[in-house]
Amino acid sequence: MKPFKIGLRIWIALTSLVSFVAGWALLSHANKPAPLLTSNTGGADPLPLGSASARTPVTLPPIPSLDSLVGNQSASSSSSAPSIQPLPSLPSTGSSSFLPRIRTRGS
Amino acid sequence: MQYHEFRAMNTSVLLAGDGPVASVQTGFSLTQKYIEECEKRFTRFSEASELSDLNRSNGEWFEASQDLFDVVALAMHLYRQTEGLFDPAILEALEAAGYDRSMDELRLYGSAASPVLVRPRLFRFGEIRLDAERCRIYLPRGMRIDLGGIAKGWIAERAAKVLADWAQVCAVDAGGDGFMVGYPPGEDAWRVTLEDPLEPVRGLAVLKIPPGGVATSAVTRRRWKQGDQEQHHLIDPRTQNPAKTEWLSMTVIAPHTAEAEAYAKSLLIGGSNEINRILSLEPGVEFIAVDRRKKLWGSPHSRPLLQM
Repeated sequence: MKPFKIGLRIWIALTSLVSFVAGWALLSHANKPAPLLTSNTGGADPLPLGSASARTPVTLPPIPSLDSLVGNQSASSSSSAPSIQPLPSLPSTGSSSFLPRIRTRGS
Repeated sequence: MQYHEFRAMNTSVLLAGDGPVASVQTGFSLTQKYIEECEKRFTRFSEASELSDLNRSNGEWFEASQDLFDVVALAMHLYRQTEGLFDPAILEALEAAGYDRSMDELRLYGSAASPVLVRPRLFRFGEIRLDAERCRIYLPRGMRIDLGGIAKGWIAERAAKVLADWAQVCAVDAGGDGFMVGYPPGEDAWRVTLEDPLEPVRGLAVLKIPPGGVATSAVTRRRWKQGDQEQHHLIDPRTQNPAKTEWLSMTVIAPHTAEAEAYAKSLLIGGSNEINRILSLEPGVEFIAVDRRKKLWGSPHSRPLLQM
């Protein structure tokens, strides 16, 4: 009985070791898994109202710089007017009391 | 011009009116009362509000007052107009980000919730159903909504009409959501200070606002710390997280305040990527935005809105 037990233990140990090494080799040569969230922008597509896909958060595209946006607009669209333009701010305004009492604040 | 300032809807409310003192003061008093009544009905921070009753309806049809029905129907219209960028069904995400009590309480005591690791179930506002004939609203089981900004805009405009009965030239400004009636004496527009979002005591420009609505959304006003993370209240419905945007503030001028509020939010959340699309949905909307370097940007016809 004792030699049988010893043999069984050795057999279990060897098969575990061989399976582990084989699994390791298999995984190391396998393709990388697809990311959980796709990098689909969704930026230009309308959001479908109440659809199942609307419940999946998306990752958004990187934000372009505003200067480059205006530059691209004027370079690329001769027919359509740019929808954004830089505006001057008043350097002389400050915390002085002449500013109107109604303020934009912001919620 | 006479002014009256008080606190309501977790913000500072400013009333302005021109006319005989007794009449304008009566108007101020009635308007304040009206705003306080509306707040009780639409706040999500009171269990006794009608909005909280609606949020507890849990998959059953809810018989609403005409006012609540009107605000929800208006919100649905603006949800569709902005193709989902304005979405009052982001309440779960807003609370998950730590905005689970009023801003006054949050400023006093901070956010109790640590960052939520389990993502809440995501609802879209388009899932609700409205029964105009019987003035009923159906929220899917588990959905709760926040009417915060749009209700504030709707209340400001209604309140301005209450005040206009006592002062023909008047304005109501509820924390950046305003409605102007008539022109101030001798003026061609209402002068409004465009606040520096980072230093609110300073002004970046003076705006010339015609009668109608104006609303400003800013990522700098309602902020709090949740653990180590800095959070703000403008949730991007696409990511269900506080919006990552290049704008510090977005001011929109439109005929109605609730509409201005929804577009301000949508333009701010959408960022510069979405400007063309949003403006094509509502060509009458004008905006003035402040970017992270405090530079001003505006829609094509916004320049005359700045006092030079």
